[in-house]
Amino acid sequence: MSAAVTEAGAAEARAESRARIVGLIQSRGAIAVLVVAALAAGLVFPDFLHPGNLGDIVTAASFLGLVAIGQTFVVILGGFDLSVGSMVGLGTVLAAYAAPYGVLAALLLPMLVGLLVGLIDGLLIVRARMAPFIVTLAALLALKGLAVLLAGESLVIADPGLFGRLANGSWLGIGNLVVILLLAYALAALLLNRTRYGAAVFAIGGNEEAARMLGVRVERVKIATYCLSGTLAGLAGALLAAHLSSGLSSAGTGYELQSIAAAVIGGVLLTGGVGTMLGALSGVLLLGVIENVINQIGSLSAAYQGLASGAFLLLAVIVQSGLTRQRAA
Amino acid sequence: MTAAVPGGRIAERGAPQPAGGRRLSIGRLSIDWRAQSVYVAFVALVAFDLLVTPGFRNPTVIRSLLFEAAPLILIALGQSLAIGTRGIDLSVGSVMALSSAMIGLTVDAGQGLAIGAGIAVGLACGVLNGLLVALLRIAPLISSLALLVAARGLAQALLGGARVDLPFGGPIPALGQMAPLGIPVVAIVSLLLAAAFAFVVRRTLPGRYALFVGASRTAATLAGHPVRLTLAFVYGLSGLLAGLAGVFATARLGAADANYIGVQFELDAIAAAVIGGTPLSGGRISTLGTVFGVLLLVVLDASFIMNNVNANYAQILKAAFIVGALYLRRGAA
Repeated sequence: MSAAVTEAGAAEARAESRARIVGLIQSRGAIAVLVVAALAAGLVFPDFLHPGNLGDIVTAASFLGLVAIGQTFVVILGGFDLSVGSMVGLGTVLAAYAAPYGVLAALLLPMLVGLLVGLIDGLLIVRARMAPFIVTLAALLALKGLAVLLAGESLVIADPGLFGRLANGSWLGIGNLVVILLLAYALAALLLNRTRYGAAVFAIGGNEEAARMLGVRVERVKIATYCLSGTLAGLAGALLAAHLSSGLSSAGTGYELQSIAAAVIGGVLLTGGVGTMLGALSGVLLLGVIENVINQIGSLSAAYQGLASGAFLLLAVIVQSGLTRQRAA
Repeated sequence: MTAAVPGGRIAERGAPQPAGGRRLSIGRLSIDWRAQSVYVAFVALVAFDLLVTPGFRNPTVIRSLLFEAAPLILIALGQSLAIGTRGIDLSVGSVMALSSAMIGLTVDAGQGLAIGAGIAVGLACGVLNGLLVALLRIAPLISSLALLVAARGLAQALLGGARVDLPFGGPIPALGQMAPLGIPVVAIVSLLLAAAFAFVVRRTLPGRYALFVGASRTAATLAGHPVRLTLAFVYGLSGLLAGLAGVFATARLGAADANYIGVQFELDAIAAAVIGGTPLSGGRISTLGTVFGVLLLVVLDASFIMNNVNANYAQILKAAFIVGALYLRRGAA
């Protein structure tokens, strides 16, 4: 009798430890792959691990990185935000318009408009009960049209001054954008893991009905999350404008899908309820490493970047789904 | 302005509904009515254009509209079936580009072969997508997203970013120009395929299985239906149709161009299917609605252009129109 009990207990413990290992791979796998990929790239291309190059990778990835924070929140919530790419483009244009009125204006105007866009998206999704996919898809089209309408192809910031230094300066030898990105992810991780709001996001993504019954204010949390995503996309646009010294209506094109891809590579489940900020950051940086390596190869055109990113995303998703099934089994 | 006309009429008629009775018999009536909204909107828009838009009555306009619509109809059909299984196929636009690139590569070896290559590569993409969804149980959004990125990258790499002009004679240019009685051959082919598609969906096992899977994958599995085979079939068909759409678009352009063909077509295809009465929640599909959804979007684009609406305003208005149309049928969707 007792032997049978201990045997069952041992089996249970084995299953539990296996589930824990699988969960660990799922949440931390991306960062392991990132380290391995970076080391491998460093072996093949001696210039790759040069601090300057690594800084360039993170700087180039910082705009997508900020967008991916908001996207990760939205995906954990169980939704999508396809409007972020266009919002980045519109953000660069708005920042270029506001730049003559000071740094604060150039930063805040895109963020405010992003907040407003997120609010409209959220209201349509929550109050009108429309599919997030459709609402944010329409926002993608509308914002892109608005950006081109305001700026045409591009709008040059005549005298970037302090605004330009904000993005292109450095602090203790580390680029400002790198600092901003890491800071933003640290804050986002706190928000996601240490606040009632973060807990509510997980709860809604896991089971919306249950969350509602437990007293989570589902509507508010959803709207707030789309607002967060829009605001961060606006911020990414402002910083990109500062980096480029101009507003580009085509900037951020494709960020909506790349940010989802980064989140998924980083272990955020599309079904909602599961994900980490560290994973999302790893996903963003992995995409950045792929881009950098393809540039290092030189003989390959930018077209191969799409091919490699797509193949990598597939590989990551196949591994993810295998792990999820392992966990469930 | 243009967008406001059909939208406004729908709102007027939709408004006087007894509150609280939506789920009962009156509600069923209203859903039935909503399912017809795409036809009402289409007729209203065409009537508006005939009355107001200068030059819309010219037969060459209808001809060029049908040329525009033909590839979109094909990918919207595949899309609507994917949505019917509660999935989605984001890859269709990129698969069109890949099909175009294959034509550019093989056109010197014979145009018939090039057409075959374009369709075949579309089918291959679709089958790959289907296997990922069916066997590896990857979310269709993600697998087709990966394919979207990868297929366009591959198409651009194959052509080296250049545009390959096609010869002036032969079957492919003929597809891009031939229009007996003012009706393009490609449009006739697309409409015939739509009819065949409707038959497959309504009367054959794969079609019924697809909608059953969309209504409840668990129930379909428990009932012993071949769920995986069905999903592979659905995405394979979507890829096949996208390959053919790539042939049509390339023929119309007169050149193979991986940067231009099919860009953001997946969005129009999804919008057309959903506006036409195929809810994103799966289990239902409307073939005729999808065809009219495409025609509606194509005529809407033309209305903006022919009324000299700034292209960027037009994009904003189109987005508002799509949201408005879906808002009005949200009870059904």
